[in-house]
Amino acid sequence: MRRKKLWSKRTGVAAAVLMTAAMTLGSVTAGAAGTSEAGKNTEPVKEEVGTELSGNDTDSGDSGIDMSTAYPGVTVKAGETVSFPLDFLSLDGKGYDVALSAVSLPENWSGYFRGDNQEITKIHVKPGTTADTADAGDDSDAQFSLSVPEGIEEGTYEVELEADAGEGKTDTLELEVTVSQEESGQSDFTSEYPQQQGMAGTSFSFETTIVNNRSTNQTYSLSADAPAGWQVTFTPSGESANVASLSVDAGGSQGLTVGVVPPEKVEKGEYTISCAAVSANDTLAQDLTVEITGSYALTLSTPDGCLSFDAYENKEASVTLSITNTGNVDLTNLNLTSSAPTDWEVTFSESTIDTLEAGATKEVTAYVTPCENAVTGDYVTTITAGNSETSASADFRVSVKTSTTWGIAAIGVIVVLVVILGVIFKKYGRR
Amino acid sequence: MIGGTGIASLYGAISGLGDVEDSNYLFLSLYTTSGNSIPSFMSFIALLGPIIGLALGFDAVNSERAGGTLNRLVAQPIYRDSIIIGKFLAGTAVIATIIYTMGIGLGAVGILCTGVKPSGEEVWRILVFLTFTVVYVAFWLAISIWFSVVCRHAATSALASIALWVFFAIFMSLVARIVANAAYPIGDEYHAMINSYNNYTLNLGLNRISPYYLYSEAVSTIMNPTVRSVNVVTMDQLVGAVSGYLSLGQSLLLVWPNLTGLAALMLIAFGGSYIGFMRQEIRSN
Repeated sequence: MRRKKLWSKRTGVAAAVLMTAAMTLGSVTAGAAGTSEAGKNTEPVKEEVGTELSGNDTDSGDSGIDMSTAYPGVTVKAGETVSFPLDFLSLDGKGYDVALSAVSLPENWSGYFRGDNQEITKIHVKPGTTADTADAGDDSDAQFSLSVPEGIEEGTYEVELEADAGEGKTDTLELEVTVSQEESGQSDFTSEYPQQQGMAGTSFSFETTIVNNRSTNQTYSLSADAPAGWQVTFTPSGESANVASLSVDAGGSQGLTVGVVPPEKVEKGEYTISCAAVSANDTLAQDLTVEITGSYALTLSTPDGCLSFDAYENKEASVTLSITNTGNVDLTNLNLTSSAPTDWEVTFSESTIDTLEAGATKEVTAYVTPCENAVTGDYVTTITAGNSETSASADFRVSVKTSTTWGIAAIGVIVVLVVILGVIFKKYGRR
Repeated sequence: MIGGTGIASLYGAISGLGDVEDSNYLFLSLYTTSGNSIPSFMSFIALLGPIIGLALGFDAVNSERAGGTLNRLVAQPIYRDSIIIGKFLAGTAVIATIIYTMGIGLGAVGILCTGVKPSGEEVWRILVFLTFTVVYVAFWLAISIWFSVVCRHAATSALASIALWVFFAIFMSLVARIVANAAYPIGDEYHAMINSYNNYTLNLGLNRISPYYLYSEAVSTIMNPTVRSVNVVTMDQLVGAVSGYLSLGQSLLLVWPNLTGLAALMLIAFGGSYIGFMRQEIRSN
């Protein structure tokens, strides 16, 4: 087996040199594998392939053909399907129609030969060349597709393939399949801290990593399933642009920042955002959890935002307050209190609000009565609404005005005086 | 003399303007700021304004009587009250001309020297101040005419009216303090604690008998929008108070009793002189 393999590689080098332009990946790979022997075989490469190989033909028994694969031993998981690209080589320079068969398969295993996307039983090996099928991976002309059944024990299994060219010229290929439960070659989408908590209005940022354990580059398209109103963005580490998909090199990893912005009026609770990265081969999922904690906030103002009003001494003035629950938790037992100058009276149309729902606004009227001897001008009255959890207050500028009643009375005095003067004029004047 | 002191006080105000902390109502400060050893224009007018009224009226009737012209005047085909009304109105017109000319001229010079522009409300406040000054001086005119009606000799009436002016301008505050201290002694700490409020209120009430004090209180409130009360202010009234400016209307309402009181005093003084003159016997000596 080993000898045959060696030969196939050596001839691979020779064939590659001779074939010149149509050089393919498969040949190069084969050539690379045989580089170690390239030094020794410099001379034979230049000779006629057929003669050199025919000389060795006796070593391979009665074979006129050689069947080989690049990696005859693989490790798979139970339930997976593995395919082996097959190389064929005519050792004596003649063309053959080769019949293919799987000689021995472990129990319940199944395998078939595939070429050009259909099942094949025979393959033609051209004279003097190889029916090289390793040139394009999955697109190879002939492959042996092997299905490993589920639920079998770990261990090493052997599969034997036979190529029969007729005239007693056969070749066998033994494949060694190691079944392992451990996942290898499985890509990964992980987050170091998949659970975060914060208040409403916080932007969350999850550092995640996509690891591509596949042997090929993968392009992952990213998506997230979040509750309505939530914004989820994907930003590769070190970048500023948001992306919808990203490419990860084979065996490489890529850091990804998942930004989560909850809606402004989000309620207290736990929310799950399912993120998925889907490529042709992988479907990776990662659940991110955001816990929104309760926040208590309250604002106290007036409907038009004006925090000043006029009042007269010893007269009631009313002002409408608007109390808004700006938190995300319902507030209960809100008390309205006031801090006013000495002897002032402040009452409310409703001094206690039983429940104020999150985001709701309530209007309450405050009645402010300045004391009798309040000085003309501005005073500060503070009105506070609050419960044990939160409170809000507003400072009102109360402009105390002098009542015009006495001003009018004083004018009356002047009028009376003028009238008296007129009477005096009448009595003493014009005589 | 008045014009000279006005210019002097303007000079004092401009030199003292730099020390004014409040940049609002800066133009009003031209009238209310006192310089080094020069009183403000406002206090000059309060003290010396009466001189104009007294000078115009102290010999209005008795000098005519002494000169014998009153008989001839009465002999003319005019009503007798026209004489006394004419004397008062003529004097008031002269006073108004002097006061307005001086006040507005002072403002104009102030603008020229400092570049401070008056705002609309400041202009109104100054006009109210000047008008009220005219009423105040006209009161002293009416008083002096009254004296000239009552007294035979011009010298007597002049001395009497000047005596009244000096009493109200200078001695009234002393008298008020003495009476208040006698009624509510505040000599020691205990009495001070008990009596100081009443003492101050009585003192203030007695002072307000004086037209000089009434006028000073009213115009200083009008010319200073930060003044919020003319009465005694207790601490509990100041709790929660914030500093601010009163509008002109509120300032006027604050000193409205002063304004009407002074106007009433002027009318009473003129009414007195009118009755006195009308009931007098006028015959040639």
